[in-house]
Amino acid sequence: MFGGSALESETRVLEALTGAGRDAAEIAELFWMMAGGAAVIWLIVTALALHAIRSRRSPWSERAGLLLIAIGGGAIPTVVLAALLAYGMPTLARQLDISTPASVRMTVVGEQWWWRVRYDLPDGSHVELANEVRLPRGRVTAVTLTSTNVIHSFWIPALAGKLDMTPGRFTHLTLEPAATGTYRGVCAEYCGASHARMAFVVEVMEPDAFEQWLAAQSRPAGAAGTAVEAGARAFRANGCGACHAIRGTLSVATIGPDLTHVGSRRSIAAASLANQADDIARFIARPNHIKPGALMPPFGMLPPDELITIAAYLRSLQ
Amino acid sequence: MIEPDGTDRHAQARRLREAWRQPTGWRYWSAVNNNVVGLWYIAVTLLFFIFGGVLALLMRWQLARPDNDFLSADRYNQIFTLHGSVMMFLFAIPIFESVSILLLPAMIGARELPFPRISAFGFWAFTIGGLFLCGSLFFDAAPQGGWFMYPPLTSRYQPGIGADIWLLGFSFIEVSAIAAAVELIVGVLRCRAPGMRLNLIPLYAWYVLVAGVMVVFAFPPLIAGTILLELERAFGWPFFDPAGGGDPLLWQHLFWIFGHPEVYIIFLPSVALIAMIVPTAARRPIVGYSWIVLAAIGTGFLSFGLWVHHMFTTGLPGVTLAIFSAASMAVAIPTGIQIFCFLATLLAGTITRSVPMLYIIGGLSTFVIGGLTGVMVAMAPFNFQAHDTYFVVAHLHTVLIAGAVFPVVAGIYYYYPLALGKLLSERLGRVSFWLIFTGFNATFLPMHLTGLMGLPRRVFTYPAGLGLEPLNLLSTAGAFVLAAGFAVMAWDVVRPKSRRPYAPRNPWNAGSVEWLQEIPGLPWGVRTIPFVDRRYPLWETPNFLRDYDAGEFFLPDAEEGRREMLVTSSIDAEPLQCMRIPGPTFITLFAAIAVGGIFIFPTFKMYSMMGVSAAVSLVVIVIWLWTGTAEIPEKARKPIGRGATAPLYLSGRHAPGWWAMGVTMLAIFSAFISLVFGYFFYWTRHEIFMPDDAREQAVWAVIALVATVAAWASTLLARKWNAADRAAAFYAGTLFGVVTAVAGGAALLAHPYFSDLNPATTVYPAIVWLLAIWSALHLAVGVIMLLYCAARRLAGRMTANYDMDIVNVALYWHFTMVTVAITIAITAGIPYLA
Amino acid sequence: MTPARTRQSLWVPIVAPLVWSTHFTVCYIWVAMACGRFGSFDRARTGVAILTAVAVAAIAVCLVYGLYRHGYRLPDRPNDDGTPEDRTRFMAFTTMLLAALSLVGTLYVSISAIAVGGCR
Repeated sequence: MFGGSALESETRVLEALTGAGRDAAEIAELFWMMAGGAAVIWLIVTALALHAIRSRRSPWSERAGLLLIAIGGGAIPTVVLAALLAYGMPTLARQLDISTPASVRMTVVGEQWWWRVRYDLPDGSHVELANEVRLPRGRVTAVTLTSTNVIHSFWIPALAGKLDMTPGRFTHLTLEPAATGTYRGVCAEYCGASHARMAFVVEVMEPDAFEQWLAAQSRPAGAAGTAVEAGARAFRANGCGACHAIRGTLSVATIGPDLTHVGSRRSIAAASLANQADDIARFIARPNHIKPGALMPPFGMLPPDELITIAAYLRSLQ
Repeated sequence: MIEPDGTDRHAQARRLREAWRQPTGWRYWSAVNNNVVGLWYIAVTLLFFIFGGVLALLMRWQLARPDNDFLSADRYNQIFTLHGSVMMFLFAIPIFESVSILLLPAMIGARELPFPRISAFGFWAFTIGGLFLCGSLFFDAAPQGGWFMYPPLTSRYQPGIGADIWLLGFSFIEVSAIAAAVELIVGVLRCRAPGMRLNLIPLYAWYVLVAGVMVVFAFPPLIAGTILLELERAFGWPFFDPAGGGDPLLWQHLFWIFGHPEVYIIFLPSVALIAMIVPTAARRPIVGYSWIVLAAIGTGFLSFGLWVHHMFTTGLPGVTLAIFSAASMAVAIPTGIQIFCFLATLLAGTITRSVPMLYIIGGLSTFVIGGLTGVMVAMAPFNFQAHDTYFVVAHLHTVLIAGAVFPVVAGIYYYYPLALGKLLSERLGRVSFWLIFTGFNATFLPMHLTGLMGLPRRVFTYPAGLGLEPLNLLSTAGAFVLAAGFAVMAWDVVRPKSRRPYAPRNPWNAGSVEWLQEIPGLPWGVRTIPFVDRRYPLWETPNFLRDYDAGEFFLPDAEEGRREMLVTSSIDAEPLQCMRIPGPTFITLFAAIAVGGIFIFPTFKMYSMMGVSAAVSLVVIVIWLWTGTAEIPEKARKPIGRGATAPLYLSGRHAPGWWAMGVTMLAIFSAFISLVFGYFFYWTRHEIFMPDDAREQAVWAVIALVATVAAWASTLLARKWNAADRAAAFYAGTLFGVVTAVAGGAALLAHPYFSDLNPATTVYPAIVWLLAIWSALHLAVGVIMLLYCAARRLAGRMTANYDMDIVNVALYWHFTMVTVAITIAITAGIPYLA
Repeated sequence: MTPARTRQSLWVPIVAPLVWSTHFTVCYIWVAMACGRFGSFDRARTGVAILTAVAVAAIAVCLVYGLYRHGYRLPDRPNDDGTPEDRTRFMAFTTMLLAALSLVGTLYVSISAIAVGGCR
């Protein structure tokens, strides 16, 4: 049904352990340490259990058994866990530390089932886009998270741990990616019918390229060329502007995702489909089919060629 | 067989058998005996387990390949919600309670549990509620908010009746779970065989005691949360709606204050089965008895300090995360101690291999993996990555299946002969073990990896091209192998065995008390109630079995044709009372149906029918109590054997009924405290929480307090006057108590009413109204109880000496007094602080 | 045996875990208030330190009491006779073990709260 992942990224074997971001790298280190320790403990306990059920061996004394309980069950775990806490708590403090000055500030709002992404520029203006997060490599980005509806959770496994987006609350996360590349972000908190189809694309770019991209995103959409004029008209005529905004046109609504530069995005429909004309047309015709429960009404009554012209227009919004 | 003293042992056994005879024909379903109800209960629980398992297979089929359309998103979401809920509420908790109902009396050498009709009521309530919940799936009306039911998704974004079915249906089941817990607690503390001092209690009973107490404190917060959520859904009281000052996080707190102890409520009784089987397999007493008791009690406490580790990613302050991370680490210590106790016992013994031991060793080695990943996810920073992913799915299934299901299967193989007289097949047992063990690991080990690959939980599908395909396919294949293993086991359990011989008595050569029972079992539970002075009397007490069979122990007879058992003291198990317990009845079924109506009708917004159900329930319960409890015996004492006598009626702080009332009230009180927690949660969350004029109308609160104090004092005086046989004073005190309680309840409600508080606006009026209504209901029930006591005395069913009714009602009134006082201190007092 | 003595022995073993629970709850509330209302980690830390000192002292009393009732020795026998002496020794030893576990739990909680080093 779907043409694979809408993300044309290289496949990383264990996304959360790639350590492409500061937080994720630190957590990966913690993970490997704990996993190694766990493996040793498991081997010892299992070996002991298998030895215990061997039929030919002489039984231990009760005293030896009690000593095993006191040392193996009591003393050693107490010391090991204390050491783990002593090691882990400073890590926790570093993970939660948001005092590092951020060079980029953004707000992400969880919607059913997409992401409203807003870059808060130093001059106080905002650039709104949807379902795509781009970050400068080696810089700190401060992300404020919230929701206007149900609880979502913002998670980019390759970069950092997740953080919930709760209505009525604002949560704060800092991201510090170390390697350029395309990553996948997902909603980790069950948020209703299309929870599984609520993902987004994360693109880590060199800082210069990022600045250029952000500048491009902050400009309004250019005038529709003659080739897509019909699509722009159909977009207006079918009332798409009642929910969507395309800056620079008469469409300014904020119910659905901002489409100003939708043509430049890596994917559409919250990273569910590739950004190509026939997929866009397919989504407009039957949003429910891609995303069960989606709030966008289906436009399947439109003639196929009209759908394609709208899609072509949206593709042109680079 | 006539003894030298002229006792006819055969005649004794005949009378005893007659007194405990099971009803036959259609009246079979009126049985209340623990060894019948326990079996029904286990059977229904296992059916729900199969149902939940089939739901899991449907999910795995859907997830076998990416972008599959075998199940629609809605259908999948209903199924995963029901799978989690069914496994938790209809399998894991009830399997503990049903197995305990069946086995606990045998283990502590008792004939029965102290309140057989409560067991039967619990069974019927559980069955009705469970069918209601599972049935919803077939009408496409099943809940789909996840078993954790987080609002606002479940409050404002799911308008169908699914969420109401979940909230009300499971509340009904939780009530029955608490009822069973009360009975088990009282059973362990007051119904042990004489001589069974605290240091001799079978480990199973220790675990049941701890798990029962945990149920009493852990379930009520969820019931409180459920009330809040249902009030928001039905009447728009904005407890979880930020627009009205509510907060979705309160639900998460209340849910997980229940939810984490719940895991240990499931786990501990399963470990308890291991603790019974391991000594038998090692052919020696357990090593480290005290350490296991430490582990059980310690886990019980620590498990209430872990709930926030389900909320590590909600953005709570780091110090809070640190505290809960630390407590989550600490709970690993008692868990490890138990495992080492079992290892030490095996090492110090000589092993007999058996199917139960196969399951226990397989389960333990797998459980250790789950325990270790548990330590990992308890570490807050790693939790930020692992939370809500398949890593956690893998962890929790490893803990619950290896830690709870494997021991339960071992327990089924081990105790089958005791319950049904036959041994299960050794060969099929091995086949099922290897299928379950292989299938289990193939299913859940890969999930650790898919989680780290970034696959969130509760997704109805996943995209291709992320490398998730092979591991998911492996999990699906494993799930079907696992299911095949359970199918083999199920076949072994249900296949006809009429031509197989009965198992020998004590087929495993165990040392614990329960194995003295005859095989096949007889309805009397135990022929005589033994005197126990060792942990493993069948190994250690000379002639134990012979004396038992000869009827040398306590209560060998049923001279008056009544069902009787012994009540003993909690520390040293000295006989205190020969308690008569009621026999078969249908009233428990009627009560379950009537009470079920209170929960089921509001699902469909049929509030008048709910009122009718409440009225019918009241009538049925009063009839039940009137005819079945606090019966005045024909004589004060009777001989109980071995030259001892015991009273037939016991009132006051040593009576089982008094304990049951106390434990029940603790449960209700912890629900109330959860509501109070909600009040303070809102208070600290908001700068402006209460309206400026919140102090006005405080006069009503003062009236309510004075009236309640008067009602409480009159109840205590009525108890005293009844004991002094001053009938007129007693009736006057009761009447005055009724009048003042009614006045107090009215004043409690007048306070928010005249303060013009509208609960559907913001959260302050809503929580104040709820506290007032809660307390007023408390008073209303207190009024009914007082009237009941007056009627009992009028009818001659309560006298100065036989005063259990008013004594227990007085205990109820202590809790009422505290509840009302706290309510008034908060609703009228806090505005003066703020 | 007097009823008063009976009551006492049922409660003694769980005094230490109750101290742990109280310490845990009060720390949780105090830290939430210190960080939330006053925004001061120093206050949070000081409060936790004081609470911990009190809790550790109380638990130590339970531990020593258990040790004393058990005759100041480790178990050389399983205390499994049906006699009041063995029951008392069993209760004492369990008291001691529960106190030790509560001590570890209390120290874990306070060390973590302090080691995390900030309110965030």
